[in-house]
Amino acid sequence: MIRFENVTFAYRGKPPVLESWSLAIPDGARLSLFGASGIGKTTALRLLMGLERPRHGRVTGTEGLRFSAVFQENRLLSERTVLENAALFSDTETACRVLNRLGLADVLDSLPHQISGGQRRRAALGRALAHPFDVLVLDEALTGLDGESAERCLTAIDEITADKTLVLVSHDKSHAERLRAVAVELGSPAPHGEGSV
Amino acid sequence: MVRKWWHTAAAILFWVLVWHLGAMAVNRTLLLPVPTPADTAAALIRLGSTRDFWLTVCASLLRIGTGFLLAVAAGTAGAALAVRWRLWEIAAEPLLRLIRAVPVASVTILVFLWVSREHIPTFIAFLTVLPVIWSNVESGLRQTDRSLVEMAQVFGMRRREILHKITLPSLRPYFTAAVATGLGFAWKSGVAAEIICRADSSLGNLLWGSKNAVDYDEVFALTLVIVVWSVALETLARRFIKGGRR
Repeated sequence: MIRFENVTFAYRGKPPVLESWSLAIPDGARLSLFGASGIGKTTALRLLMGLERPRHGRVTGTEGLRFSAVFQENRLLSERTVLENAALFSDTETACRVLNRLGLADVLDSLPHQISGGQRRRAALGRALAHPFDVLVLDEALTGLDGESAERCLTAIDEITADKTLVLVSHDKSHAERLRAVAVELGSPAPHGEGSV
Repeated sequence: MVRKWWHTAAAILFWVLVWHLGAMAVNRTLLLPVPTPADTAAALIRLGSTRDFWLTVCASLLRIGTGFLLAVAAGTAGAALAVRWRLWEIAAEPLLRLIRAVPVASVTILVFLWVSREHIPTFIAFLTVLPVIWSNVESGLRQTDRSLVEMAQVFGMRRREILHKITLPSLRPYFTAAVATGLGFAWKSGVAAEIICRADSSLGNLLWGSKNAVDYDEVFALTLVIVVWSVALETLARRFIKGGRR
């Protein structure tokens, strides 16, 4: 169980993004964070992945967990092919299989700048899904994808995260519903105090 | 556009012809001893046929090459520390500025007091190359995409792997440029130091001796040797680093 215990966080010189925020995420839960822009959704994901440290409070239960993530940006290595990028944290065979599922079979040997924005997004998702993980973090992972590609990606995410923990942020509520993720609104009274999913 | 090899050859041939005609004209009208390409080639063959000449070239290469390699190691380490510790960056900055600003001739004469004549070219090559490597490597490290390092950390990549797969590829273009430029600097400043300090068994000393003997054919031939080595070393360095990338 991952727990955010009275977490307060502020970026240097800025007012707090999260204040005394608590949340419990049981193993294998699917959770969707939503709320107004700037409310702290991405910050909550960064705290979860250990990329930021709370000013007050603590995040527990993440020790020893293997994380995989799709960030708001693709973060692909520009000098490596789509397949090499996807296989960066896994084996080539798994990466190849996942990329094929995401409809990228034709661009495995292409460099990121040689493919479309939607294909780059799927390559970033492929890298995340190919990596063996306990917790998958998706920050606007399907932004910019057409309906068919998004559906293909959602199916893959749904199957691969069957017994894993999934925490996502998406401005499209239908994606969260499609993945049967429990919605947690930031900025509302619910996540404050002892919210549990 | 890819330049074909014969474009370069034709350009060289053109300038050799200009040199030949210029030398002929100066020799005839001003009665100044300017060697023609043929005179220079003859001197080059004469020099190249002796074992001592090649030993001298090797001694100069070894001496200057040592200074260059030491500068690459120290410059890379210094830059890495400067990126890691702001205090070290602040402390080192005025020293680097000073090294960049001081002329080779002044330093050569100054270090005569503390360093043996044989080691002065090594020291000068080191000092000339150090700021070039340092500043380029520092820029390269600062330009490494932090978001990629962050991403790798989330995926549990080890520090050594991050260095190998993310930091070094990002650093490579900066390092290649620094090494190629630094080699040229090292060679030219090293030979200049050899001339000033008259290091034994050195190209610089050979050049000085030819000048004193008023053997301008040999002065031209030796200058040509120095230029050819400078270009060859730079090309070799670029190919070596490019090869290591594959």
